[in-house]
Amino acid sequence: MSERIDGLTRRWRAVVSIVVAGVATGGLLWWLHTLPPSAIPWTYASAGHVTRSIPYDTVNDVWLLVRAGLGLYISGVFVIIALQLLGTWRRLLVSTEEAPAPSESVGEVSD
Amino acid sequence: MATATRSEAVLQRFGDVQVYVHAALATSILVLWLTGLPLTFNEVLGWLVVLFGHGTIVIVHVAAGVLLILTGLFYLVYAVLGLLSGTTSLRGMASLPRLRDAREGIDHVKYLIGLAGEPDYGKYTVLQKAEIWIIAFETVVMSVTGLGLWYLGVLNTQSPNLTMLIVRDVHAIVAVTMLMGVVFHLFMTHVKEFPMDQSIFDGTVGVGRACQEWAGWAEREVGTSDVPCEETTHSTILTTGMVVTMLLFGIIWTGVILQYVLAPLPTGPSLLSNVAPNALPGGLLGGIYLVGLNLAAIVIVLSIVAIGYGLLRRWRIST
Repeated sequence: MSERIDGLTRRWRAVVSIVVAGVATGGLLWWLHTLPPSAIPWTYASAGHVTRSIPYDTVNDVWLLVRAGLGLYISGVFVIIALQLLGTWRRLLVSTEEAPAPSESVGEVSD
Repeated sequence: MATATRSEAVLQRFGDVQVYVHAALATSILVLWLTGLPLTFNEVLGWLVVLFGHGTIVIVHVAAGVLLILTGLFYLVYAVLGLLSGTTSLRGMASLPRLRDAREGIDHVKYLIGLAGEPDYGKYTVLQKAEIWIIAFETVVMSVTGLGLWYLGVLNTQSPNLTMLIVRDVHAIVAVTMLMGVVFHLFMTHVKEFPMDQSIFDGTVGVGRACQEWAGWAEREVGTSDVPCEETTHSTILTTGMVVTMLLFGIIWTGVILQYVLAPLPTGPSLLSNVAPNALPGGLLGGIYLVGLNLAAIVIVLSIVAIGYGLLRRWRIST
């Protein structure tokens, strides 16, 4: 398998990838289309929705776990954003003040 | 890595495939927001529904979702083929997380608090790698939850079950968090030069900027440690003000999303009706939502136009 595609150029890699991705996406959509409906009848209760087959406490526990995961993810995104912003600020201002005098020589850049 | 003169010297940063994958992913994600936001927050973005029609918006949303999945799968297959054919290697994939990233993360924090100089970043800084992988994670979550909602939820004529209600909320929360991340990405990466940074379209970056932002990578690419860095001056008040504003904006945005995440169980009888998470508060906070979400819609439209402009410019240059 590896030997067969050893000779693939970048262009061929792209063409094969487009075809494989197209077939995989189409296959995924077709497979999903064959799945039966998953709706479970529910009844409204003051504490939320209660399905006939799943106890409210179970659903609540699952949702709590999902919320904990989402909270971690959202906090993580914010931390990364904040660190990037502060890094940009420090580079733009503080580093400029601390930077030594620029060198006159320019390195040779090869092709 | 070609260069001409000191001022014109550039380094190749992105290949053709990266340029087009970025454009396809960005376009699909932006269109998903432009159509998904009015479906979710139809109180404040109802004008989009009136303008294009609910049915059209749903169809475009699904089509953009298919493009997102297709692009994600394409890049995955392309990377795997590269590894199998030996064209690329795990070592050569600059965006993969590595052990030294942990060290670089600590060095970055030291740099921020003034205990060390700026680390010699590689092609991507540790935070940029984190951004790339978070977007990959978000793409997977949005694809899976979106497909679930479409095939198992919305198309269903019966009432949705609780799992679908949770899936709907996860879909909406991750979308809004992703929107926050991308707004900052636009600010810190693409709106650096007027009218916008062209690196992601022409694939190149000036040596001066590369030296300033990714010194380690620039030195390796140029082949010398004496790389001329960009020399720019910035107004302390303006730059600090802008960064503080963006940080406050991020804190408020994060707070709003976390507040929703900490809300009680998802409620509502239908995936498409006017219930949580699109039930927005009234009063002043409702006004802030109204302005904020409409501003987001305008930024999204401008970003789609910018991608079109960038690609057009690339094609004009190449021909």
